[in-house]
Amino acid sequence: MPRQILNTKASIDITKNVGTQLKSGAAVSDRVLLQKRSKKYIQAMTSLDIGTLTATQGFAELLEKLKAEFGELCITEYPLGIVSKCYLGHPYEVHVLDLSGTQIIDHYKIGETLPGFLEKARNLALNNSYLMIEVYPNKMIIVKEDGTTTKL
Amino acid sequence: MSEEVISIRPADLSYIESSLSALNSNLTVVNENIQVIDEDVIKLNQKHDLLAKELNKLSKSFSDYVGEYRRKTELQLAETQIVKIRQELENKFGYYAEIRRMATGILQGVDNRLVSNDTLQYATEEVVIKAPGYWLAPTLLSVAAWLRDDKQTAERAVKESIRRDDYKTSLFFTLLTRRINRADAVLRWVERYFMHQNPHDLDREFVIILESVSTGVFPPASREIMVKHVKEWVIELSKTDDFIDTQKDNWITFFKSKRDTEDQKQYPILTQFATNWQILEESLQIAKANKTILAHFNKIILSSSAAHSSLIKQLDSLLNGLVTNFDDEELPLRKKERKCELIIEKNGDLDAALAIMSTEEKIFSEKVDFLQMLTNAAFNPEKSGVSVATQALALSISQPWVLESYNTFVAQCRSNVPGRVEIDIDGWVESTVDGSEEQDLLYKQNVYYEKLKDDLIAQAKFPFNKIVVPALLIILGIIGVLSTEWWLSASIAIGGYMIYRVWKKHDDYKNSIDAQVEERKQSAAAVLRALLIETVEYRQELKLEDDESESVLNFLNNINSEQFMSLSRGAARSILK
Repeated sequence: MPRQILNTKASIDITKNVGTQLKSGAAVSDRVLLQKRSKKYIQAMTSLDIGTLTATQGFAELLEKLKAEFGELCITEYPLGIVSKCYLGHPYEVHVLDLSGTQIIDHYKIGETLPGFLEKARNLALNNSYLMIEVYPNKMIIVKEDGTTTKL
Repeated sequence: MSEEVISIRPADLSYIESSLSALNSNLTVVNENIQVIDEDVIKLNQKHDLLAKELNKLSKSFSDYVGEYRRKTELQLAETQIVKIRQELENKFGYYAEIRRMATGILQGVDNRLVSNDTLQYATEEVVIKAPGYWLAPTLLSVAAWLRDDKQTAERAVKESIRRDDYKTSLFFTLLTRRINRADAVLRWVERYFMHQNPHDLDREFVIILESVSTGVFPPASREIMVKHVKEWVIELSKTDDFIDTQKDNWITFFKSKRDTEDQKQYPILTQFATNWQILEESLQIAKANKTILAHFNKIILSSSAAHSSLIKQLDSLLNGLVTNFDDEELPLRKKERKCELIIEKNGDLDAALAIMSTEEKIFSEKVDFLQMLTNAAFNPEKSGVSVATQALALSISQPWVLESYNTFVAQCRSNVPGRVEIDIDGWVESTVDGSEEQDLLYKQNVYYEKLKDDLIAQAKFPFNKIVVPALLIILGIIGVLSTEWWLSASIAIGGYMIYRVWKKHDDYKNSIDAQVEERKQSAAAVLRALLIETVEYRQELKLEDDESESVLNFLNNINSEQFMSLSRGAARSILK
């Protein structure tokens, strides 16, 4: 159907930037979450194994970097946890940055089960093509080394 | 005191007896009567059934009659109505038909220049007077003015036409200027036409225009206009999740449909002894989709674009259609007319006519949003009415979310692959990750069979009941010896011999259990080894197929719309011209 092109100032009327408008309890738009992750963020996440994080200060820095990455979102929309492959060696398999409550980094061995909502990310985290899995309440965002994201 | 003689006599029951027999005969009579009534009731029942049947027949023929009557009435009504409607159409819009005929003639006149300018001017001016409000009239007038180089009139007429129906005028002039090869004019009209399009709600004819622009039937500069608009629409439509998510789901379903459906017969041991083989097989089949998907995409890109002649014909028929098809104001009356036509066709059957009408409506009023149109074109070009070149173009425009969907598809596939292969050999249940734990598993299996052996042997109790007799014999013999009945000592020997026989049989039985379990263990071990080998092969094959996804990702990352514009042969031709 043709639309008026002559006398309207804005020919299409859509609500601005639906993605980051936060309604109570609504899930954040996928388009925002699917944007590519920055290099700094990737670096920060991969350094979890090297043990350069000291107990408190390194961790605070990490949180800062997280906030910088997810700037547009409020704290309730951050991932519940981030799972990735552990390179500490056998028998350690995955490590988890748990953001939901305790905010600690845990290393898990083969056979140890992860906390309930993170277990489903384990299989994927072990896959070599994926760098880490961000687990949200109702979805998972898979991040590759170059920062590209996939929603599952 | 006189003694009365009481004489006892048998009671005289004859009265009672006779009464009883009378009663008896009465009962018999009653019984017979009941039987008669019974028969009557049966007869009544039969009559009742007959009546019910008759009643059913009657009600059926009545409803048939009512249906017939209804159909006849509908038919009559339709026949009278159609006459009335056609009359009304003639009255209100009769001139429109005349103008349309004239328009076809004028277009032909543009082509062959047989009619003089004066006649054209006169005819078109008359038409403008006779059909006020109809957009086609001033359009034709402007064409006639253009033909005789009367710029002012032509411009005024175009303005008027735009005022009456902007969309149709734009489409008309786009097609006309293309037909007569006015490059600049085409560009301006194409721009205007595109501005009219609402990406949420595109007409079917838009696909033809898209197709023509992408295959070079329109001048090359129009392609840039199209690309610009297309990009804007994509940005607009992908701001919210809904449209994109629908398309992504479509693509994921499409990828899933490319999976291998054949049984993976190269793993017979796994098929038989792995309890989760179904999931394993499925994962492998889905992983094999990657190759097929890559081949499919390559085919789209490498196919040459279709010939243009059919497309030009389509554009011309679109132009004719614009000119000859009825307009929106007539739509309600035309609908009624169509309904009456269908009723007459179906001999008064209202329901059938309405059903046909609803399907017809669906076909013609199918409007889609731009993204859906792209997806349709990319999946099934023939059904969408586009050529392979437009399919390639659609694919390249959709590239961002095709890439996302493919990544999601691969991630889903990978997350569904079972981490462990569950084994069940001869009742021994275990699992392996990738077939590398051979020593470990063989040891465990050995333990299982040893335990099995122990259990079976423990179950094979010594048959104490069989040695009761020989034991007694021995006791007898001992007693005999003690009481110097020497001949009884023979029973000791017999008893001893019998006990020996029983013991030997039991021992043989235990040995045979031993041998059997050993045999089972050996064959199970062989199966286990074969299974582990197959597991290793399976994981390798799965990895190979999975790695194909990298090629697909490479491919998807490297296509973009500009590349597609230049791929069509039309571009080469237009540049050369």
